[in-house]
Amino acid sequence: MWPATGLSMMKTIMAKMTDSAGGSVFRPSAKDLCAFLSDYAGWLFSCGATCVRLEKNVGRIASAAGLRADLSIFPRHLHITVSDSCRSFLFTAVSSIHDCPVNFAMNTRLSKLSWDIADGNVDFVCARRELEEITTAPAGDNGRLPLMVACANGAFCRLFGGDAVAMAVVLVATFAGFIIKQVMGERRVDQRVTVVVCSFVSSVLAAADGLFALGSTPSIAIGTSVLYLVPGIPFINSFCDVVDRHYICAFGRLMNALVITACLSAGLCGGMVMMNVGMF
Amino acid sequence: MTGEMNMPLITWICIAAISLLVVGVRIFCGFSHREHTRKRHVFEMGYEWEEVYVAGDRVIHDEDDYGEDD
Repeated sequence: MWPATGLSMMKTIMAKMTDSAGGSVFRPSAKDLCAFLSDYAGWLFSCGATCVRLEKNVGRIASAAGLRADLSIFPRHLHITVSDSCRSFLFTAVSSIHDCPVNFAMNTRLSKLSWDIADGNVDFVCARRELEEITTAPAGDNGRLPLMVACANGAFCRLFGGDAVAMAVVLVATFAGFIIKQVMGERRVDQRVTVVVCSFVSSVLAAADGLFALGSTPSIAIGTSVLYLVPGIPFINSFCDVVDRHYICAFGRLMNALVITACLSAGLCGGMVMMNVGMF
Repeated sequence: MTGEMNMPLITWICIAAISLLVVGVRIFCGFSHREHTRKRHVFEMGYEWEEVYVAGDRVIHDEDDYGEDD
């Protein structure tokens, strides 16, 4: 399907010609490739890629090296075996899943790296350097993110029937909660503890709507103030893995998402109890 | 009795004060480091693939190459 235009086809042909003339050739040994793919797959999984994406990208890189890669994907570990087409040799590596938050920027760059390797734009040394650079790069622009998330959550409040005061209260509560989430995340605090604390703080702050009799929809303000903590991506990835028949991994992701949701609920209930807000 | 009634208010003030402190420190630190980072606008025009990107798709940097299939 790719590339779509004649110009990009020309570029591809030129790239192939460069390869044949001694340019970027991705020809690592099977052992080196196995170690590389082990790191690559570990990071790709950690940053929120689905299992089908993992298999495609790893297979693409292995094919570029003229080899074959098979994956066993578990919730906390990855087994990868690299072999040639006739299985005359096998190398297996095990990598742990990194404990990092979902990061689509890293996901994108890792996927692009696999295409660059497949297109012959980078050799093995460059690919290793690029992987190192991607995985050690600082997180993107975090300055605007709390404001954007707060606006989105305020809009959610409106969708659920909240009035303007409730929207403003939710915006402030979300902004404060998200910044606390960022601070705790940077200090490597456990994600579950972070979610409990943030949902507690957001729900308490959102209770200002009812505590000071500011608006007419205080319960909606409290209920929607914690929506930014809902683990949507793990739930979606879990469903994608079920569709692709990666049941163990899907179950692992689903359990993780459910635990996060339970932590969210615990924080919310704690906040409601402290503010004397009735639950039903 | 009065203490029980004031409990939510005291809790709210404590949480709000701590939150304000954390947010204030965070924003202050953000501004102090801003000189070292590239200046960004609050709203910018971007490419479609920067926002609606399906991981694994090929990123086309050349506008001439951009097509619906990309």
